[in-house]
Amino acid sequence: MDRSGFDAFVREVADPLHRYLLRRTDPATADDVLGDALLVCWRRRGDIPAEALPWAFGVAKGCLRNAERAQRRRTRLELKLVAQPAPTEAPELDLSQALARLRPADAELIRLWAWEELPPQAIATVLGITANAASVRLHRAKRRLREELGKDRADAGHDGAQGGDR
Amino acid sequence: MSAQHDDDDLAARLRAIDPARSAARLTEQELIRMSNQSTESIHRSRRPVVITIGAIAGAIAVGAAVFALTAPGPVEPVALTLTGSDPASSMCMALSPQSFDGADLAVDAVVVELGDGLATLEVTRGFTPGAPARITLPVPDAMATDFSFTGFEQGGRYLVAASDGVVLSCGASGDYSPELEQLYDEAF
Repeated sequence: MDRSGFDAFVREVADPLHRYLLRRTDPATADDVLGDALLVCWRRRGDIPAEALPWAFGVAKGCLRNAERAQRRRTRLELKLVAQPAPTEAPELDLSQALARLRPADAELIRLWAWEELPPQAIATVLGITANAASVRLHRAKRRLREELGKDRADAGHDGAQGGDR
Repeated sequence: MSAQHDDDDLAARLRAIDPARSAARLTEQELIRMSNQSTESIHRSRRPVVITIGAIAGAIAVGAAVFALTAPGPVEPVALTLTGSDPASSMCMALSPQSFDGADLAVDAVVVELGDGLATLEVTRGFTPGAPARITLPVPDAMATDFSFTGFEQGGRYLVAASDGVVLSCGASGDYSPELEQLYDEAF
């Protein structure tokens, strides 16, 4: 891939990568890691597949791990990742909490599916697993998320509260 | 309600709590800047490698290591060495993420050159920050060390972790495997 090809690649993936990172870390780290990820992509430009975005998510995932390892020595924001509150109103607080209670691997599957809007095949590429495994695990993760939401609803019922899951 | 409808409903609700839903799109200028930085910062990004070489050279000066250094330069690989421990007298603990405590370098790399008992590997993924573009290390003797390398081959893929320029042994470095990569992911 030559320079112009890489420019086109950046146009295709930079914005989705930025959002991917904003969903998993703080904005400053997201900016830094995006730069790192694109640098790795340039170094590995010979490996970029036709369907580049899931592959690029995988690169960003590795770069984010590196950055988190460095930051872990100072302060870590693991809980902030999933529990980052919506900036203005607080819609679906029960859903945010249910997502935060999932196992990290399940929560990541849910994020890739709902936020990155990836099909199982692409999720498999990001996570380095088979498409079949991604499909099965995603199905389980959705079921667990619904179970968590059900617990909230049950708790709300016990408390006599209104609302909860729709 | 169908499963698909349930999924659609759940996805819509999740999108409502997407932390990036209100994030502004990157501007044309930002895209150009990022592309330029990626393609032009190779030399700048490798500067820490030169510093690392200097640090490793310091370690050699106190006689702690036995690895050789090539002349520093922006494209020179980082030279690593093996401990040369005798497997018959070495005790290896079961591998865990803690096995990598103290490691300051961990990479996924592919052999691009073999010669004179030395392998040059191109790093395809750095698990640690500031990983170099290339590393070199002596071709291990499978019979005389406790490394998990089955013997380097051109194009072969390996996972290498090192501390102060010395490759971690006892299976902590070796032929690529998903299991070892998983450990690296957890450790780094």
